[in-house]
Amino acid sequence: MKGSDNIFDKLSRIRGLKRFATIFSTLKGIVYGVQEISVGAPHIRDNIEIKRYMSCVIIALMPAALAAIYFHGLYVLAIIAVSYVVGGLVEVSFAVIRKKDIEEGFLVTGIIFPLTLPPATPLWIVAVGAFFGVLFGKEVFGGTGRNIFNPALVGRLFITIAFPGVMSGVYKMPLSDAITSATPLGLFKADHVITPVWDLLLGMSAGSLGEVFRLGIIAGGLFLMFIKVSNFRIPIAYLGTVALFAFIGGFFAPNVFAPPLLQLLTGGLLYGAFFMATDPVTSPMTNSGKWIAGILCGIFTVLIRTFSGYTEGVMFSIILVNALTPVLDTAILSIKYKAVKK
Amino acid sequence: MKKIMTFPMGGVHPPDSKEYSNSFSIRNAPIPSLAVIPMQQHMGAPAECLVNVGDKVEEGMLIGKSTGYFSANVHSSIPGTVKDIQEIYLPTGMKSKVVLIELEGEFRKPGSKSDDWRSASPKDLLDKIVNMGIVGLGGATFPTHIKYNLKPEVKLEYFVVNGVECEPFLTCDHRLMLEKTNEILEGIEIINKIMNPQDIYIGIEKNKPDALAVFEQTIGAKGLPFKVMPLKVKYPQGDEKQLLKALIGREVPSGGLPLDIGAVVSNVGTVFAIYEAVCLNKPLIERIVTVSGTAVKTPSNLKVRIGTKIGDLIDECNGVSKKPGKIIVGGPMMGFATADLNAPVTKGTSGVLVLSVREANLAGELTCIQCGKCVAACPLGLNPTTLYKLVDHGLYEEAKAESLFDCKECGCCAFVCPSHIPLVQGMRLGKFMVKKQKVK
Repeated sequence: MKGSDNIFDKLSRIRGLKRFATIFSTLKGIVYGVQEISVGAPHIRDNIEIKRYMSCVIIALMPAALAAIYFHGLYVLAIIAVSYVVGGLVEVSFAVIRKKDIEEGFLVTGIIFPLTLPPATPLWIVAVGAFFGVLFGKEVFGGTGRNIFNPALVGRLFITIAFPGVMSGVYKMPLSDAITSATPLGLFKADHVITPVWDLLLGMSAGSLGEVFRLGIIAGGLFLMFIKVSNFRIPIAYLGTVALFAFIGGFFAPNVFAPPLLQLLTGGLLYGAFFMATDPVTSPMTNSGKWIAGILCGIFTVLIRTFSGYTEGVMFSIILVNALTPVLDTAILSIKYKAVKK
Repeated sequence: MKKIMTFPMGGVHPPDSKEYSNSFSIRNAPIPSLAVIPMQQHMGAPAECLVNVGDKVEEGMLIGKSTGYFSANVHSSIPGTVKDIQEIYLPTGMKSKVVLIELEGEFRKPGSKSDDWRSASPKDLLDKIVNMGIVGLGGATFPTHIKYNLKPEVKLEYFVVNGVECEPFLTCDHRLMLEKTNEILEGIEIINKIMNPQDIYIGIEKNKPDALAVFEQTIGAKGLPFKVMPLKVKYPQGDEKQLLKALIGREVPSGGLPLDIGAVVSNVGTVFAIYEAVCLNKPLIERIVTVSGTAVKTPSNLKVRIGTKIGDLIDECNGVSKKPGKIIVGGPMMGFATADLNAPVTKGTSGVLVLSVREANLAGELTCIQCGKCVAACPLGLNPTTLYKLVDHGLYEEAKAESLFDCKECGCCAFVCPSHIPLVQGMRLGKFMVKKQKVK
C-alpha cells in the first residue's frame, strides 16, 4: 500500500506504542482517507458506506441538538461532551484490548444518548448512563454490529430504573430554569390537559433534550429516509400504529387514551421512531420484519402510555422489540425465502 | 405500448456507464502476431490439444478437441506455426494449457453465404454447433450444444434471446444488435429449426431504445413470429434465471436448468456466432469485445480474434488517459481484475475495462451492521449476510443447508453493502470448501 511512511504509521511502529496501533490507524484513516483497492468482483460499489451513514445520522440530529442548546443553554453541551468522552473511552479501550479497529458506532450513540435525557440531568448520571450503555449495551456482545439492544436505550433505561428519584424531577420548561415534572403526557394522564399542537411542534413544552423540537426531528427523520440511510418502513408503521390504536382506543374510552395527535407529538415518540427504532443493528433486516417491528413498537407504546405507571413508553417498547428482532428475522426468512426445489 | 417487465425480487441499479462506448460502431482489432489460445475457454472439461510445437496451422483449424459431452472444440484464430504449448493462469484464476501460435501464412477468403440450412435436418445443425465450438458468449461460456440437445419427448415452450446486457460499461451486445440485426434474426430462425419452440422472445432492456426499435421494425418487415420484449433496467436481469422470471414469470428450480421450466436462453452474441457457423461455415474464432472504462482514451467495441492479448486491445484504443487503478476482464459486477496485460481474450471475454485510481480505491472491510440491504438486494432471495458469517466461521455444511449453492455470485449484495464486506468472495470460498470436503 502506498503512503506508508506517514506520521501515524511511524508512531504505531514505536515499540511502546504498538498496543495502540488501532488508534493510529483510525487517525490515519481520518487524515489520509482509505487507500485500499478491492481485488474481487464487484468492482463498483454503491456510494453508501457506514461512515457516511453515521455522518448523515449526526447531521439529521443537528436541528434537535441545536434546539436543545438554545432552550437549555450551554449545560447541554457539557452533557453531550461527557457522553462522548465516557462512551469514546469505553469504545477505544475495548478496541485496544481486542486489537480490533475502532468502530465509528459510538459517534452516533454518543449523541443519541444525551438527547434522550431530561435537561437538568446531573453530569455524573450522564457518565454512568453512557458507560453502562456502551459497555453492557454493546461491547459485551462483541461490539458494533453484534449488539441486541440499542446501546443508547440501554444506558437510558439503566439510569431511569437506577435513579428514579433524580430522573423524574429534572424536567424543565424551555428557556426557563424552573424544574417541573409536568410533561405533556403527564399532564394528560393527571388532568386531561391537551397541550396546543404548535407548542409541541416548536418545543415549548417540558421534555427530554432532543425530543421537544419536533419540527426539527421530523425534518431530520425525513432527510434520513429521503437519502435512504434509514428505512421508511419502521417509522411509518410505528407512527401509523400509534395513531390508529389511539384513535380506536379513544373511540371506546376517550378519557383513558390520549387522542392520536397528542400521542404522536408528545414524549419521545418521534425521536424514537425516526432515530432509535430505525437503528440497523437492532432492527430486523427483512422488509416485512421492519413493518412488523414498527407495528409492535406502536402497540407497546400506546399500551404502556395508557395502562402503566409510566407516562412514557417509547423506550420500553423499542427495547422489547429489539429483543424480538432475531426471532422475527428467522421466522420471516424461513417462511418467505424458500428456494424452489426441483 | 407493451408492458415493460422485470423480475420481482431484489436487484440493484448501478450507473449503467454505457455512454462511454455505445455510440461507436464495431471495428476490427489488429490481428495478433502471436495468438495465445487456451484449451479451457468454456464451462466443463478442457479441450484436448491436437497440435505439437512446430506444427503448421490454418485459420479456423481444430486445435483442441472436445473431450466429452460437457466440453467444447477450440479452433485456431490465425494461420501460423505453433511456437509453444504452456500452462498459464487465466484472469478467471483457472489454470489452462495454452497454444501459442505465431502469425504466418494466408487467411481464408470469406466464403459466400449459404442458405443450405433451410433444408438441413436439426441433427446436422446441432452437429455444426458442436463442430464449430460454439459456447454461450454472455460470460458463462456454457457449451451451447448441451442446451439445444433436447430429448425427443421434450416439447420446448420458450426460446429466449438475451439482449439484456445488464453489466455496466459493456456495449458489445448492443452494437451487435444494431449492426447485425438481420444476421441475428437468421440465427434465431436456425435455432427455431433445431428446437422448434412454441414462442420466441427477444429480451432487451429499455436503455437500448435503438436496438428495441430496429428489432421491432425488422421483425415486422420480415413477418417473423418473434416477440421483442422491452425490460426495465435492473441488474442482474441478464442472468437466465432473472430473465425468465421477468419474461415468463416462472422460477428455475434450485440446482436446475431453464429447461426444467420449458425454456432455453441464449445470448445475442451466441446467436450471431451460430449464424456465422451455419451460414458461413466459420468456427468461433472471433468475438466482440467492449474496451471501455473511465481511464481508456477512446472506448471502443472491437471485433477481436480469440487469443489476442488484452494489452494490445488497450493500445488499439490509444492507451490510457489517466493513471489506471485496475484492469478488469469482463464487466464491473462479475468480471475479474487482472494484473497481466498478456492475458488472452477468450470466448467468454465480453469486455476489457480500465478504471482510474480513484474508482479502484474502495473503502476497506468494516463490521456488518445488519442493515439488511444485501437481503433486500439478493435477486434469489438468499440471506447473504448469514451465509457469509457461516462461511467465515468455517460452518460450510450449514451454509450449504442455507442454499449457498443457489448463489450465482452476481454481486448485488456486495454492491449495496455499506460495510464493503467481500460477500461474493465469501460465497466462492464456501462453495470451494464444500466441494473440497466432498472430495476428501
